[in-house]
Amino acid sequence: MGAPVMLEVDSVRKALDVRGAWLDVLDSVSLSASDGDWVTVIGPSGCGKTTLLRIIAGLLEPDDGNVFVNGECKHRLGSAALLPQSDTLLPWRTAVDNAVLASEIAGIPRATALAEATRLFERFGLSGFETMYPWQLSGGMQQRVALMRTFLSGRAILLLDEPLGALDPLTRASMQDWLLAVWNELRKTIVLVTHDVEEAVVLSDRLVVLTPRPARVLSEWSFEDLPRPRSRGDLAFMRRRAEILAVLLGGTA
Amino acid sequence: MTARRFLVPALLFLAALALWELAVRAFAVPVYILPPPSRVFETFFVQFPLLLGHTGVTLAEILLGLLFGGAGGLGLAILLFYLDGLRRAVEPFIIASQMVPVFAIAPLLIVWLGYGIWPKVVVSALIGFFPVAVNALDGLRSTRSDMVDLFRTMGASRRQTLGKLLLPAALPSLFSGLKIAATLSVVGATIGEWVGARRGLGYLMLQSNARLRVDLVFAAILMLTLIGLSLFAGFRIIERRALHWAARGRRSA
Ligand SMILES: Nc1ncnc2c1ncn2[C@@H]1O[C@H](COP(=O)(O)OP(=O)(O)OP(=O)(O)O)[C@@H](O)[C@H]1O
Ligand SMILES: [Mg+2]
Repeated sequence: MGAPVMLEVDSVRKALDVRGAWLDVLDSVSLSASDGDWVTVIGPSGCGKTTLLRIIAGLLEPDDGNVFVNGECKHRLGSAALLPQSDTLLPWRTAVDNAVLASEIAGIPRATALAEATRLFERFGLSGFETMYPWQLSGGMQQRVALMRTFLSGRAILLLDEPLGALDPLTRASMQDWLLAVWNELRKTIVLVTHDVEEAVVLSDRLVVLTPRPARVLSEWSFEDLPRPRSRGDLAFMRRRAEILAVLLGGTA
Repeated sequence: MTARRFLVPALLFLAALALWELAVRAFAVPVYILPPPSRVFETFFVQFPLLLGHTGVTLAEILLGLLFGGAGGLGLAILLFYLDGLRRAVEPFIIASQMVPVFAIAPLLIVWLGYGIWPKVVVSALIGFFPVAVNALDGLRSTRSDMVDLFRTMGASRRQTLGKLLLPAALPSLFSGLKIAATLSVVGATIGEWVGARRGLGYLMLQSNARLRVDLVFAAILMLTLIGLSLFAGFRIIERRALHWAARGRRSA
């Protein structure tokens, strides 16, 4: 507690131009995160989660409301690292060259960036795969390289758009535990978008549940009473998961 | 596998040559109308020093034409990529320019630039310019927008985005254009020489034709074909090297 506020999203509204017609995507969304917080956003498919992350990242401006990232409002583009929902590794770069892309763009000397990346390759379970091209890696490994690129960006806030969405349930569960361990070590502020309630409860400090489009905040949850690491079979864990699912399916708080 | 790939075309080629040889002999076609392939090959080797003397000029015209056409095409593609208004304004003209037969302006180029190497270089460049410009622009414009967004969140400058994302992404299209330009530039240089030259394979063809040395005409055509094929193969090899990361699906290679 008492950590500085890193992210403040205040009553953000956004309509998108979809082939000439205005589509209300975000009605009124607010959330905030202090330094080192893990906030998860969950909501039905197409409700505007990716749009919300793009607004936080500074790729889009809200029609109404305010966004502050690290105290920046107008010039927040570049303050937070984004891991897009789609597969965004550069196919012509090896794993390690993909991982250091942000450092390279920031003008950090290559030797420094490589030294840091090499250390993380071990932590990300990718030792020995540094010089492989994306097509030579499994889906889970590609996703870990993309996560590493995000962690290596040097930004304090990471915006992760369904980073584990495309993985099979088994890989997914082990990646969740691993992601938690990495976060514990590197202590970043994370905003995670997911479809998976269990993932939200395993990983985050707080959860923001959105309504179907146009999105509003349906309910907010705190998991600070559940000590980490959280066991998926634990009674309190399962009860919380069931409550959230009921709210999501019922559509009311 | 590669041996089998070349076997069938090679057999087909030999069969066509055999048919040509037999037909010429069976109908006793005079050598100044149509020489048999055996005579063409004989002339090719006997007159090799003469051919080689004319090849140097033509090859220089082709390579310079390719260089200027390729660089100009890529340069224009980059310019039009960034200046969308300009692209919309000049795109019709670029397409219309392809309706103007370059051969028609070749005599004018002789008037403007003299009998030296330059009018041929210009014809060759003008023909090769179009496929490079169109393909490169297509490649630049088809870069995924989520990748461009990712670079923006990394704080990449316009130049960094061009060098690290747009150009590598456009490389496969650029090579398609260059391979077309390579074959067309041979045609361009030859036409340029027909209109007015004192040296070169096109000049040799005209001279030999006037003296009823049809075998020498064919020998020059054979030389031009070899140049075209070598250029194409050269670009293929560079392309394979440069795009080795696109080896997806060629895992067994
Ligand atoms: N570039 C775009 N062009 C057209 N429509 C868009 C675009 N981006 C978003 N939309 C629309 O905006 C709405 C919200 O999209 P968004 O991607 O933010 O949803 P999401 O919650 O991330 O969905 P998902 O869970 O499927 O990833 C969708 O209904 C979609 O139709
Ligand atoms: Mg999404």
